[in-house]
Amino acid sequence: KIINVDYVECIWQRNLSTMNYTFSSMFANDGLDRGCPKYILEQNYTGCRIPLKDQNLRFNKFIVTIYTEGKHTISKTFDSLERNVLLNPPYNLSVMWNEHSDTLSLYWNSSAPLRKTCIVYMVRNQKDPSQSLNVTDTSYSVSPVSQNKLYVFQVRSTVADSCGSSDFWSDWSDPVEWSGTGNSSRPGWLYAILSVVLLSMLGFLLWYCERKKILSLPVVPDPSINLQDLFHKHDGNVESWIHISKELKEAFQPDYTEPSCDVCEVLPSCDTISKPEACPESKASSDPEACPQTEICSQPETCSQLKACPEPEACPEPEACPEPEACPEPEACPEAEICPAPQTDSSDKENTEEPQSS
Amino acid sequence: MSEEEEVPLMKSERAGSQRSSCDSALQVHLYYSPSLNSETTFSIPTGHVTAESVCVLAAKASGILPVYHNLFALASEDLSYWYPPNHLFKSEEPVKVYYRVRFFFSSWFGQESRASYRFSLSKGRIFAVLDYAVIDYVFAQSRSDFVTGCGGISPALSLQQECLGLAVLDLWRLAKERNQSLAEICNTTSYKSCLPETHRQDIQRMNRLARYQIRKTLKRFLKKLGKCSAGERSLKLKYLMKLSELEPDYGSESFPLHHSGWLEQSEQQRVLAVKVSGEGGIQIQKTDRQEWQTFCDFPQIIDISIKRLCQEQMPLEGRVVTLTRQDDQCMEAEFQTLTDALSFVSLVDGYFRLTTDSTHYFCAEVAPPSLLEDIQNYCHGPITSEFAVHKLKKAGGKNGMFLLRHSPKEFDKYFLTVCIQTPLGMDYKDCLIEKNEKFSLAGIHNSFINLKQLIDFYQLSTLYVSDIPVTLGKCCPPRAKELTNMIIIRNSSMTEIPSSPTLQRHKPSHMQFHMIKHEDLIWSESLGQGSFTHIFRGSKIDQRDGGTHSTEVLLKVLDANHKNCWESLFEAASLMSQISHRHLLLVYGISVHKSKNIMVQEFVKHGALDLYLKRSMCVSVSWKLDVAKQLACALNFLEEKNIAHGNICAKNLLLVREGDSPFIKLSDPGVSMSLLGKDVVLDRIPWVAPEVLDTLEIELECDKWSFGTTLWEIFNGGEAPLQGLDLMQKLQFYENFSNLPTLEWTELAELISHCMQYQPELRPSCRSIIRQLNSLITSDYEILHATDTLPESNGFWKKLNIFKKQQEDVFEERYLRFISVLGKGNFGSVELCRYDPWGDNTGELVAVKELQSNKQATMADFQREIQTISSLHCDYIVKYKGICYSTGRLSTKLVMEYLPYGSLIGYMEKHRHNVGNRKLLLFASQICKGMEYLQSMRYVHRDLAARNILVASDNLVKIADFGLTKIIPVDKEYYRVTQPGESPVFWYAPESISELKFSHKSDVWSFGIVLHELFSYCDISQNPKKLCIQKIGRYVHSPSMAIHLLTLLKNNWRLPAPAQCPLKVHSIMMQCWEFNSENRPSFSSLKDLIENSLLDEREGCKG
Repeated sequence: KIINVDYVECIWQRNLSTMNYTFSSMFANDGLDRGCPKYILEQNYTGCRIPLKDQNLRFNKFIVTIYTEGKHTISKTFDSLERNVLLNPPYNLSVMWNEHSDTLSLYWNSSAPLRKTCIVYMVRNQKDPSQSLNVTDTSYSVSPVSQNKLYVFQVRSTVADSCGSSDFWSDWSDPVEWSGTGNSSRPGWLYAILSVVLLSMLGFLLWYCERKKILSLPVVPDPSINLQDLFHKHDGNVESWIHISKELKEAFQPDYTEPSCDVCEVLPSCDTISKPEACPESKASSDPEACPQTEICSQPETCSQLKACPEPEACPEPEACPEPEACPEPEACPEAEICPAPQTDSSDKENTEEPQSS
Repeated sequence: MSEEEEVPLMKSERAGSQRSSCDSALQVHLYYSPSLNSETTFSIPTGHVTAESVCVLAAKASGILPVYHNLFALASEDLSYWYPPNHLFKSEEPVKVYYRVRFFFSSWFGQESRASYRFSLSKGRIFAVLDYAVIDYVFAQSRSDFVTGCGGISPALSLQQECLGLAVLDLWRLAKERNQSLAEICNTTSYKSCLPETHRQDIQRMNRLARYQIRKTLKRFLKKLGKCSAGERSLKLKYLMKLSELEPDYGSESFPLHHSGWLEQSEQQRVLAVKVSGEGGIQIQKTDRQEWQTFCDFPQIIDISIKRLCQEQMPLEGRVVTLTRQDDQCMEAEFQTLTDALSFVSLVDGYFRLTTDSTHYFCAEVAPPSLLEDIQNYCHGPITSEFAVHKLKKAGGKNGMFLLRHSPKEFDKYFLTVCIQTPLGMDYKDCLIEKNEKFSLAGIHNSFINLKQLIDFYQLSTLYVSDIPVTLGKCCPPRAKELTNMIIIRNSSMTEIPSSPTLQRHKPSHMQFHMIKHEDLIWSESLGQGSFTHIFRGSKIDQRDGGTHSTEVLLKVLDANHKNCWESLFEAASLMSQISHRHLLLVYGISVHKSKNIMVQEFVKHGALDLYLKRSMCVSVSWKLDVAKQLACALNFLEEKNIAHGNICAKNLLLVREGDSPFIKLSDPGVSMSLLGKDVVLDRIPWVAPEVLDTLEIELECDKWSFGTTLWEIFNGGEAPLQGLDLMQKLQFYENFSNLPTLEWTELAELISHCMQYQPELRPSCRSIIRQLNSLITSDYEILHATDTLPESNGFWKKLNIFKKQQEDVFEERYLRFISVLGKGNFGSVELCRYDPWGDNTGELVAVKELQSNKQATMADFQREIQTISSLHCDYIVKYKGICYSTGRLSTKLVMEYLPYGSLIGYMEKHRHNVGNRKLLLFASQICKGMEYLQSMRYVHRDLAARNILVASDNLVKIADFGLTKIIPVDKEYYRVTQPGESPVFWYAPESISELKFSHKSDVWSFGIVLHELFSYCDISQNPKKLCIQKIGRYVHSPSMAIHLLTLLKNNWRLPAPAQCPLKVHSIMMQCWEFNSENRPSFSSLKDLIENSLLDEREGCKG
C-alpha cells in the first residue's frame, strides 16, 4: 500500500521466527535497489516502510526481494501500485446552520498531497444511512433539514478516477453531531421566560381546578361530607345541629331524689319500759277522768303513786265546785316541775283538758 | 408519609381479668363505667346467682338507676342469645356475659316531633326514655358494636362516607374527653381505629395518594370543627343519631325459625322469621320474597306459652312458642333449643312490661324474680312520688291508706307512701324502707324478714310520721296496665294515649242492633225461664236469592211483668252486637211484636255448661281447664274493650261443642243490675262481687270475682256454691268475708282465692289468669278424682292440627253459613257469614262478597278484585281471608275479615257525638297510610269514598272495596279506562271525568272528597253528590251530568267547607282539589300534613 501517497508499506506474514532476513525493493526505471530504511515489527506480521520520493512512481513496476541467511531468496513483482493508494481520513469536519436559507453546511479538510480534483469524498449521516452522497469539494449543504432530528455526519476520501482510481477508501472521519435545539440561534433568556410563563399558567390552572373540585378523585372518600350540614344549615352551632329540645335535655337529667319523713313507733319521750303502759294510754285517752293517771304514769318518779288507789276514790271530789281548790291535782303540779321533759307533755294535756272541761 | 400508629382507644383491665378468670365463675363485661370512664369487667366468684341479680350489680357499677334497669339484660359472650331474668348461673364452669341494653326505642331522642316518652301526669313535663347515665352506656355499647362489627351493626362498604362521619364524631369526642385539641388527636389516634374492621381494611387497600388525601381532608375538617364549641354529651347524642340513620334496625332482634317438620302438619304457610323491635312490635316473614308484616303490637298479646316438641313420642331439643293475639290468632314459632326460645320469650315479655303493663309476665319460665316478689308484696316498681300520691288520691285518700313502691333512685330501698290526716287536711308522706338482709323502716330499730311482715305489723301498731300517729289501713296494690313513668309511650301510639283502666265503664252511646221482623221468626218449644225473660227455641227465616234460609235461634222474650226493663234488654243486645269474638254469643238482633220485646240469639246446641257438667260425670281436668281458658280469653277481650259483663256464671256459659275439644260461648248479660232489684242481686251471691251490693254498679273487677266463682263451679262438677242458703245467709257470707270451700287442687284453689279477693284492686288481670291457667294446663299435677280420665294431650294436639289444616285460602261453601246482609257494593252484596267447618257454630265471622249477577264481564272484574286484595298486606286495608267457590265453581265469593262497626257512614251516624276533630284526623291519617301503601304497590283505587271505609275499632279504619282498582302499567303514570262502567263521578278528578285517566293523583282528589265527608260527619245533607247536584241544578239529565260537573270544576268551583271544619283541614282539601293533577300533593306529604294538624290539635287540647 501507498499510504497517503507518502510512503510504501510492505507487509508479509511472519513464518520464519528464528531466521534473520533482509528486505530490498526497487522501482522499475529507477535503478536503485535499496534496503529497508525502517522495519515494522508487530506480533503477527513484519513489514517495511519505504518513502515515496515521487508521486508518479506509483505507476511504475515495483519489485520486492527478501534475502534470508540460508541464501534463500523470495521475490515478488508488482505491475503497478496505482490502485493501492490509501488516503488519510479528512479532518476538521464542522457543521454550520444557515438560518437564512434554512440549510445545513458541512466543511472539512484533507491532508492528501494530490490536487483537489484528484480526491473524491463520501458524506454520510450515521442516523440515516440512506443519506450518502459523493462530492468532490470539501463542503456540502444538506437541505431540507428537520429541526427535531439528530444528525451525525462523517466523511471519507479516495483517489478520483481521473487521477488513477484506488481500490481503498480512507477511514471515516470523526463524527460531528447536530440538532436543532442545541444549535438554535434563539437566545436562552427567551426560553427561560417562556418556561416560567408556562409553569405559571399550569399552576394557575391547577389551582383553579382544585378550587372547583374538578381534580378531586371521586373514589377517595371524604370524611367531612357526612357532617357538612353542621356548617351549611346550622352555621357551626352544635346544639342546633343536634336538634334536641331543651325540655328533652332536661328530661335526660331527671332528679329522682325523694325526701322521706321521720318515722318512729312511739314518742321520743317514752321508754320501752313504758310500752305496756301504752295500752292504758290509748284506752285512757277516751276517758277524761283517767287523764290525771296518765300524767302520773308518764313520770317515772311517781310510779309509786300507781299503787295509791285512793286517788280514784277522790274522783267524786272534782264534781263539787268549791272543793276543786283543795284537789290533789295542784299537789301534783309542783311534783311535775321536778321533771322538765314530762312537764311540757303534761302542760299540753292540761291545755287540752281545759277546753274539754269548758 | 409513614402510617400513624394505632393507639387503643378503650382502656381495658385485661391483666385483672386474666388474673381473676382463674378462680371466678362468672365474668360480667361492662361497656362503660363512670368511675373508670371506660370498659371494665367484674367477677362474681361462686354460688348460685340469677341473671337479674347480676344485672342489679352491673347497674350499680354503671350508675344505672332502678327506673332504667329494665332496659338492660345479659347477653352471651358471642351475643347469639340473651339470658332471661330468672336464669340461674351455677358455679360449675366459667361463663362470660355482657351487660347490654336490650330494649331499644328508636325514637327516644325525639326528632321530627315523633318521639317516645315515658308516661307523665302533666302534659308539659317530659319523662325521657333514657337518662344521661344510660345514654353514656348506650353510646359505649353502640360504639363497641360499630367498631367490632357485633350486635347487628355491619355497614356495607358503600356507606363509607357515613362511617367516616361517625369516625370524625368519635375523634371529636375523644379530644374532649382527653382535653386535647383536634389537631393533637390526629397525632395520637388514627381515624381508622374508629371504623369497622371491614372499612379499615378497605382503606388500607387504597393507594397511598388516596389515603394521604383522606388524612389531609380529615385534618382540615377537624381544624374547622375545633372552632365549634361542643359538649361531650352532645357529641355522644349526635353519634347515636347518626348511627341510627346508618343502621335503622339496630336494637331490633330477628329470629330465623327452625323447622323440624312438626309444624308442617298444621300450617300451610310457615313463619320463616320473627322480628321484634320496640317501635315495630312483632313482625313475621312468611316467604323470602315477602316483606315484614306486623303480626301484632305488644299491647295486643294476651298469651305466650312454651311447649316441648314431640315427634313419634320422642322428646326433642326444640321448643314451640305460641303467641296468642287479642282476636285469638296464634303464631307458632319453633326454636331449636330451649335457650333460643327463652331468649325470644323474655324479649317479648320485657317489651310488654315496658309498653303496656309493668307488672305482668307471660311465662313463669322467664319471669323476673323481683317481679314475683313485688306481686306477692303488692309493691310497685320504681315509680315516682308524684304517681304514688296521684294514685292514692284517686283511690279515695283516706287516713291510713298506703302504697308500697321501689325507690326510683336507689336499689335496695323502698318507699311507703301513706295518707295522713293533719289539721290542715289530708297529706301524703313518704317513709323510707331499707333492705340489708332484712327490711326496716328508717329510724326504727325493728327489722322484718320480708316486706309483708313489716306491713302486717304496722297495720296493727301505730306509727308516728312527722309526729302524727297513724295506723296503716288499706293497701293500694299495683293494677294491670297502670300508667306510670315505667310505661313508655311510643310514637306509633302517640295519637291516642292508652286509656287508664280506672276510667268509667264503656257504654255504647247509641243502640245498635238489627231489627228483625216478627214474621221472619218461627217459634218452637220453650227452654225455660231466665232472669226476667222466657226462653224459646226457634228459627229465623231469610229470603235470599229466591230461596229460603232457615237458621236456628234462641228467643228471649221479656216478661210482661217487667216491661219497664226493655231499654236494658236493648242495651244488652246493642252491646253484644258491637263486639265480635269467637267465645261470645252472636246476637242477631231485636224483634218487637205488639207488646213483646224479643232478643234473637244464635242457638247453642248443648245448652248451659252447668247442666252439661251435671249430666256428664266423666269430664277430664284438661277439658275443664280448656273451658276456663276460653272464658278467660273472652273476658280478656271484654277487658280490652273496657266493657264489664256483669253476669258471668256457668249457667251463662253455653257449650257449643263437646268431646275432647270443648268450645264455649259467653251469653249476654241480660237485664241491667240496677233494674233487677235487691233480692235478685242477693240471690246471685256468690257470683256477684261484694262491692256491687252497695253500688249496683259493675266494674271490670266484678267480672274477676265472677270468674273465680265460675271456676269453682266448673271444677265442682257444676254444683252451684252456697246451695240451700237463703238471702240473709248469703249476705252474711259476704259480710263475714267468708270464702268458698277450698278445692283439693292447691294451685287452682289459689287462683280462685286470688279472683275472689274482697278488695277489688287485689284481683288479678285477665292476662294473669290466662298465665296461671297455662301453668295449670302444663303442670304434671296428679289427678284428684278417680272418676276423671287422663288428659289426652295427643288427642288434643291432633284435633288442633286437623282444625288448623282447614285454615287455608280456599273456603268450602257448605261451611259458609249466612247470617245477615251487611250492604251492597258496586258489583254485588256483602254478607255476614260464619265459616263453620265443624258445623257447630264455633267458626269465625267473616264478610263475604258475592256478585249479584253472573255476567261474564263482571266476573272478570271480580276475579281481578280478588287478585288485587289478596296481594295487599297493610294494617289500614281490610284483610283478605280467601275465596269460596260454589259447587262446580259456577260462582266465586270473596271472603274478608268482618268488622262489626261497618262503614264509616254508618259509624258516623251512631257515634257522631263521640267523634272529635282528633279522631277525624286520626282516621284521615290512617286512610292516607293505606293509600300510600296502595301507591307503593302501583294500584289506583278509583273508588275511594266514605262508604268504602270500614271501621275496625274506635281508633282504626280500613280501606275496602277494590272492585274498581286497577294497576298502573310500569311505563306509565296513569291508567286509562277503556270501558267506563258505573262510575261515581262526584268523587272523580277532572282528568278522570274528561279523559278517563286514573292515577295516584286522581285518588288524591277522591281523598279530598273523603276528607269532606269525614268533617261533615257523613251528613246526608252534606253529601258530595247532593251538593254537586244542587250546584248543577236538578233539571239537568244524568247523561250530561259529568259534563256540567267538569265545567263547574274548570270554573274553580269546589265543595264548600263543612261547618266546624278547621281551616288547616280545608286547606288540605283545596290542595287535593287542584285542577292540575301535578299540583296535588302526594299521599306521603298529605300524611305529614294531617299528622301536623293532629299535633296542633293535641297541643290545642293541652292548652
